[in-house]
Amino acid sequence: MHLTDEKLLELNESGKEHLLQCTKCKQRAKVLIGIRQQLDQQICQSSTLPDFKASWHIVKQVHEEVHQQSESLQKVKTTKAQHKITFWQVSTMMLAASLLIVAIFPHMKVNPEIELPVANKIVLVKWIEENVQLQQLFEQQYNNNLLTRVSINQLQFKLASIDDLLQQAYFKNASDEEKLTLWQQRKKIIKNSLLNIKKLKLKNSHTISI
Amino acid sequence: MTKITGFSVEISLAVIRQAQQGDIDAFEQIYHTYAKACYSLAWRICGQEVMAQDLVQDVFIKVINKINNYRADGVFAGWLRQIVVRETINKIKAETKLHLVTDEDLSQQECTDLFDCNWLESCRDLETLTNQLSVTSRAVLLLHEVEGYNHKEIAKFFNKSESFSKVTLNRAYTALRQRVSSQESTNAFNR
Repeated sequence: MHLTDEKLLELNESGKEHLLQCTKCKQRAKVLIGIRQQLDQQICQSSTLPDFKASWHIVKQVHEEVHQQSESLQKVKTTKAQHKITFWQVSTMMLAASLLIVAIFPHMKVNPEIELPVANKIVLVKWIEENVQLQQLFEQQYNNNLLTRVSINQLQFKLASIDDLLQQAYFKNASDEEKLTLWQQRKKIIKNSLLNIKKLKLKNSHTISI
Repeated sequence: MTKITGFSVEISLAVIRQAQQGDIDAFEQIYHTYAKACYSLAWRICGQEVMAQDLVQDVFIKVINKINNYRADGVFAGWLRQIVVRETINKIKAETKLHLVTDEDLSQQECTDLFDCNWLESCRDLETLTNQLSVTSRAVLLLHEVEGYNHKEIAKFFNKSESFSKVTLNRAYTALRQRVSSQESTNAFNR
């Protein structure tokens, strides 16, 4: 039984073995090799070549556009990352500065004879702790990127203003009530932002389940 | 000394790395090294100059976007060649209606007489004759018989079964043989 044309065109192992024994198929395989060589030599040898330089200019234009796009994209990514770092660096530094002032405040007191009422002291310490905890919690939530850039900027501005006022209050040795009000305001701002994140989370999960 | 041309030309990895980083001069070097080879291959497969010319552009635009996917675990020219073949076939597929083959068609092709003699030997205008084949038949014929792709690879390029490649190749040879014989008859009559 001779090899079919199909088998001859793509020889497998058994086909190759058959060729060793069959003179007729060996001859057909030689013919096929000759045809292949002719196809290879005669096709596309006479074709006139196009102007590759003109074609290169188009490719070059695309290359420039693509490169510019990727550069802009990279810039946006870097700016975003920097913005994120700046925001946390600033807000954390502001809080740290306020806390540092609180810590060294006893040594800086202008009127050492004026003592804070004990109840107020306890509330003040409690609210400072709560502020720190809330800010930590907010930082964790913020990483989920649920808040918009506008709301983050607003929060950053509000916190920076209050931290500034707090620092001034400690330096000026302002009244206990004034400091308490500022810490309370700070707490309220972070709490509201956390509440917004919660709402957004709920909204998102609702959308997904729909 | 034989001059190395086409996809046999090797380009240094340093140039490729520079092109991957967006260096336009490096990319130009790649373009000028392989543009002709890409054109020739595309033209061989599709048989149309304008389409082949468009394909060179399409291929290099694709390379701009994909060059970072090249991991240097194979020859760059081989990687590029695959893109040329794929893009050419995609273009052929988009512009022609592919003929679907059935198992019945395949069983009809079980013959043993296509290569009994070299019927192509006397042919002087093979270019014209292959251009008379359908664009799909020409593509499969050239890919299998000249470019060395097997049926499995061709089937993958066309997103078809291996039977499609086998039958199309067989039909391409049959049609080519018929055209050669008809050309011979005409020439004999004119003499």
